[in-house]
Amino acid sequence: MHLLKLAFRPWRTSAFMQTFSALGAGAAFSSAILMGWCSLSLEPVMHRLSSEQVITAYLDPELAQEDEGKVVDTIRTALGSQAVSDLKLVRALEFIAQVRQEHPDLAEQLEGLGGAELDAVIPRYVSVSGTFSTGTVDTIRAVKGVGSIETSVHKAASLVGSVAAIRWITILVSVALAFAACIVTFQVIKFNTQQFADAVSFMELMGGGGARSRVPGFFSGTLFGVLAGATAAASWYFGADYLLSHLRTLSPLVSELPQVPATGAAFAAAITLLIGTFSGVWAGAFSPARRSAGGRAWL
Amino acid sequence: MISLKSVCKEFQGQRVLDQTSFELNRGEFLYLLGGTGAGKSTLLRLLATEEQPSSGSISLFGYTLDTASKATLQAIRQSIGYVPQEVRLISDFTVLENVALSITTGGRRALPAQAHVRINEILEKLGLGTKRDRLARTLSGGEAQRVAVARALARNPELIIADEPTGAQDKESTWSLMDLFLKANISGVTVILATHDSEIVRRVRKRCALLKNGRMTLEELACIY
Ligand SMILES: Nc1ncnc2c1ncn2[C@@H]1O[C@H](COP(=O)(O)OP(=O)(O)OP(=O)(O)O)[C@@H](O)[C@H]1O
Ligand SMILES: [Mg+2]
Repeated sequence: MHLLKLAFRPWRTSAFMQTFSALGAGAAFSSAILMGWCSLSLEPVMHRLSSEQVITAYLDPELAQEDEGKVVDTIRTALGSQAVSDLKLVRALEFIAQVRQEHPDLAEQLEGLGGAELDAVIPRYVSVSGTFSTGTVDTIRAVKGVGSIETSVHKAASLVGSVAAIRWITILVSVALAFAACIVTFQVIKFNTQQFADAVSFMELMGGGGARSRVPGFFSGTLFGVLAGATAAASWYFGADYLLSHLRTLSPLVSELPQVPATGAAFAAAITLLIGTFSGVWAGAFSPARRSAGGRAWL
Repeated sequence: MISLKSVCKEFQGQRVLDQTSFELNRGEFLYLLGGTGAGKSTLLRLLATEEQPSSGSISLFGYTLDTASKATLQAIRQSIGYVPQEVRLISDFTVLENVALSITTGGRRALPAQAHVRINEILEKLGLGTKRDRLARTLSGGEAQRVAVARALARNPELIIADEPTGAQDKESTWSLMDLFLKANISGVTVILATHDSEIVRRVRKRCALLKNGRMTLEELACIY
């Protein structure tokens, strides 16, 4: 009871400072975790952008029409379990159909060629899109019946750079916020333990146990952690989605970020509470109560 | 019971206690005398295990402090009733809470019934009966000092270390304080009392120790005043 009363001493003397520091630290912790989550979520986006490609495998002009299916099957097998989003064979007629959408005149002319001539002008090709490992192009090139090959892998390079930059910014902001919030928490708890250091040191001098004398610091830290944790959870619960929705409209680069998980609120609260409690125990252990005024003490 | 061997205490090179040695047996009563700044409080802080000497060794209740374990040190501290010169009450605790704290810090969670009776008795005796529920910071200097004495006595100590406990008292309170110290002494408690009050020393004749220039001389009788 006495120890609890001591733990509340900073609240009696500086309630506003305690409250606003806890609110600030809680909001900062929650933002730090949100930014951390963003950087984690951007990683698969980046990975996909950097490895997603469209491979165009032109078929050997000599290849007989009835063997086309076999080549497509071989390519499909060669890709194995890789993420294929599309795999199709494009023949002259299908190519013309594609061209017609944008250039109807050209399609008309091509159709006029007809037969063998058409086949000579328009190569057949297999178009494969998906996320592939680096050796995939060579694997497809080696398939019998494939003439030359093209890949779009470098088209996304600038996009990947931008996402990487955004990701670094989120990491930086996350670390900076977490650091600031930790410092605020430690400072407030240290200030709190100084508030009751006189009482704790006298209790130790009367033979109070070491663990008991850390109770006020522990309570004070936990109390701060509870308040900051609740703030962190609330700001995550009510603010994270809202913020993210605005971020998504801001730039198409982050539009692929998934929904903010609701469990993040619990996570933010737990982390914040833990840091509060830890700082209480820490400050209790190193409190000025353990240093006597006249130099060395028997503690 | 108490034994100091060549104890020195220095603060930033200034030697306050110089090779002080003395022994005190269980149940003795000792006045610690000396001018202001002589080092009385410094010596009592060492005895109360608040500070370590710069050199030399101190033993209390047969344990040498240098080698005592943490648990022993705690047990020693629980057997001491210490009245510091600066009183050191917990300002936002009531008188009763301050006094009760000296019993509960010993590890007990709740105050035993007989401790309640004892606390009330002591507070009554010291004229603090009506001030039980006052916050310590609202007390006068003399009242606070008496609460500090009550706090030291309530825990039934084996050793009382009192640093000028009558410094802020009028005649009447001085004698009720002295009465409590003497009663405790008669029941076997060892008492060390630092004081400037020559009248006490003259009226209640006990062994005296005089601190001067960092050295201590023991006198069998109060022959200083
Ligand atoms: N923590 C400290 N740091 C530096 N000097 C100190 C410290 N504590 C005490 N001193 C010095 O040691 C000397 C003795 O101080 P002490 O308090 O023991 O005197 P005292 O005999 O109790 O005096 P008084 O009768 O005024 O209470 C003084 O000169 C004081 O300035
Ligand atoms: Mg003094």
